[in-house]
Amino acid sequence: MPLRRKKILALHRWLGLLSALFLVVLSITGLALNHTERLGLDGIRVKSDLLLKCYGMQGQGDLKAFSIHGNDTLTHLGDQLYYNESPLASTATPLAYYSGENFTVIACPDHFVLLDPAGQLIEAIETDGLPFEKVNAAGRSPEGAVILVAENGLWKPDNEWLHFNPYSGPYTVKTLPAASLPKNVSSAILAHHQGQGLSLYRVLLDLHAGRLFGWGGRTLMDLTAVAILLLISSGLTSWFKKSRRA
Amino acid sequence: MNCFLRARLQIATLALFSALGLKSAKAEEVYLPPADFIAQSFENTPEQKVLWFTAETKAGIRKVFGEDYPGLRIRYWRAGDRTAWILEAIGKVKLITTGFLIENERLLQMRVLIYRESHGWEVRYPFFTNQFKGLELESDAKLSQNIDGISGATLSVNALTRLAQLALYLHGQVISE
Repeated sequence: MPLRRKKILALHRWLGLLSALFLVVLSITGLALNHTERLGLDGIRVKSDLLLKCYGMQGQGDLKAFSIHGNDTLTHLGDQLYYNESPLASTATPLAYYSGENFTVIACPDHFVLLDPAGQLIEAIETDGLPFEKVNAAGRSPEGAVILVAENGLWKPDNEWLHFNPYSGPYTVKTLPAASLPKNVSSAILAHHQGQGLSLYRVLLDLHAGRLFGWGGRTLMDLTAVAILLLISSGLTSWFKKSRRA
Repeated sequence: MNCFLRARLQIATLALFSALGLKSAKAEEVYLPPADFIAQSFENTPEQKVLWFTAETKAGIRKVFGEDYPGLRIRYWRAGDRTAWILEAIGKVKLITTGFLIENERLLQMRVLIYRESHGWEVRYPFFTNQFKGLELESDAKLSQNIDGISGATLSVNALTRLAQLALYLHGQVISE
């Protein structure tokens, strides 16, 4: 066998082996997408946490729930905070809370969330622009005032939470106790977070195009398409050479 | 296949697999920190005040903004007849943080301060934001002039238009207090 034909056959073999898996994915997803309506792909919702994460959505395993006001819950998912199943504000994971007579304050690293006794949002205050940037906890002085524990010291807010004065004195911190969420609450939060959810059609389409894995996946599918062209040309070239020799 | 070609193919394969899973993500863009917007809006930065939402205010907000604004109160800065507001609304899926400066019932300035969406960031540019200068709130809760949209940024344009209406309404509330 001439050396050139051997090289072409070797290239054909390796290209075939390397691209086989991706060709199988392309074929199966392509077949399924071609029959989207018949298979009802649009109506099938994907629940996998791993796949949801690929789309920036988070699932059941990412819920962080805390107990507040007795039987109520405070849940953090994605960058959203929920009181029971109602969305409160876009914040980082809460650290601690202080419950007063007229309001409750939830301390998050980047926000204070003020709630009325019924759990209704009064205001979410960004720490940006306040005398401190990162808050670690909310505590209580012996007199019952709220004390904010920030990276640059202790701060005591006024009654309206408009001004913050430095504080030096004793205080106690009440951390958020973890809670298990009732099924209906976690379902409502997930429904809010995920919207209509992710359809199998969308996953298959993105798998087919390689978009599911970002630019790396797209490049891989592009290379698979190029590999098909090379396989065709190397196969034909090899076949022509063989038939000419015969 | 010779060793050289095989090694190159293996390296290329490894490089491709290591690239899998990498996704480009556009983080939030802070064009102007809200505190800086406030500082630039007044000669001497006034103290913050809060406007509590009464049932009447809430009804007015629903009329101009099309929905409830989160919370029971909002912060603002006021010096004489000039007020400044930091307001947020969702464009498509993420919050857009904007600053509004109002005097004598007219918008002096609208600035996009923080943009978090992956598309539609063109709304930050003066060719768009300048359209809001001098606008007032009409009796039908609309702005005194139409805002020209931007292709591909319709939802962001709508959100900013609604926020401008809300800012003018809230200004009217604190001035009339």
